[in-house]
Amino acid sequence: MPRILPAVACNLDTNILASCLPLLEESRVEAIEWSFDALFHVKQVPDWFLELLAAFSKEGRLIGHGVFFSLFSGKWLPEQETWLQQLQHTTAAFRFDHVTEHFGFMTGRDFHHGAPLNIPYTPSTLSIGQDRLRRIQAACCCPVGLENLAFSYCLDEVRQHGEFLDALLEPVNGFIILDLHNLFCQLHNFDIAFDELIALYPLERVREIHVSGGSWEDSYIMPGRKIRRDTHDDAVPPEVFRLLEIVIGRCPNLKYVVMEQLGNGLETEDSRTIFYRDFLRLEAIVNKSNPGRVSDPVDISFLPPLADIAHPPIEDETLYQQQLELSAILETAGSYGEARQRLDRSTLAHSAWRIESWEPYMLETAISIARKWAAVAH
Amino acid sequence: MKLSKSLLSAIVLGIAVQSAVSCTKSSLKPVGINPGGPNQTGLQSEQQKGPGVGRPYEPGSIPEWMRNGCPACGMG
Repeated sequence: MPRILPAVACNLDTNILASCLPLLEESRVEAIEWSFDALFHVKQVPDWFLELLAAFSKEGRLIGHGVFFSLFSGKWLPEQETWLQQLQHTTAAFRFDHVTEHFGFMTGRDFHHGAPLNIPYTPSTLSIGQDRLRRIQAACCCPVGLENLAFSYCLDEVRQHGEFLDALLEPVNGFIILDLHNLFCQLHNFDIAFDELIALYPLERVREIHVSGGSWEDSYIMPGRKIRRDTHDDAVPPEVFRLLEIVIGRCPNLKYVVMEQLGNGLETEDSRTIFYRDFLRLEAIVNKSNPGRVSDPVDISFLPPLADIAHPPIEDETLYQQQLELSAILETAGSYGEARQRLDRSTLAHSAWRIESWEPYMLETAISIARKWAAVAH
Repeated sequence: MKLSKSLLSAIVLGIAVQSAVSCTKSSLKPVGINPGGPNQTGLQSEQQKGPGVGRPYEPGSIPEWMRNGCPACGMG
């Protein structure tokens, strides 16, 4: 079993960097996770940030975390081709120990400027996801992984997610980022027991764990119901640390535990102090689990198999049209009731999307998420 | 992992400069970070390497999600 490295998600953001600085100065950060595609369109990146990335890259302790690829878009898009080319250029400059992306398809006008939402678990989406993972792996030439999604429309999706991830990752010998706050969201939003949920995940595939915070949102259509959202803008809840303590010993191939928080939650001195303390707590849990694990072993887990890419990319035109339809409904419906009516009349009705079983409060949340990111994008 | 003192100093200065820029909201023009010109990833050549300091990045080019939360987990 590899020694586990305590890490932070570190991007070009003044608040994040200022929060990480004391930890970097005390040599506590063993690895950093960088959302490389956030800088694809940034014209000027300061030398010192590049040097920071290079320092961790040189030691094999830089991991890449993509945001904007939109893995399950039904159609192969020019933006995805460009994304892969840019990833290839980035990996020529920085050696990543692994590269990860998110589960789902992005809403938004071109599927690259919105929020990722769940997809039906069908042979078609499985083929598309496997095809895209092969392409990412061919571009970055290192192990690839996917993060479990926080958002689900219904409990059945929550129960199927781990198995679907396993099937997706199998052809590329990929791994899972187990985001514990995402699990925390699902535990709360679907009233499912942790033991039941975690048993549905292939924990031998977990190479990375995310620890983060989030926020509560009231449901207007179900008064009294609170939705947990993975907004990454607050301290790590004690429950998430408890999940880490439970799970960490059950993941034999775990290598990184990453603390994620976004800069908008790190603007005050108090929030930065809490961030520092949270990292120390994370580090203590990791250190407690490390005895018996091997420092710098020859890491053969999750090595990529020989590239086997289908040409042209696998597509599903029906799925694509349904994704466009769903995005438009979520972004433009004036109310939950209107969204429900439009969905019932859409091509998603009585299909693999199973919209009839979507929880009303989660559809309400999907509307809220899609609108938020549509507003940001425009 | 231990970082060099020069790199840590460069990060401190970089953050300070950027914070000052953000506070004063002064108008910024893109600044040439790499005199020889960056390659497509912005990484410098070996000759150009060395922690540069005091040059702000272009704040308008930072993605919105860094300021408004991250969409990627699906619940942001």
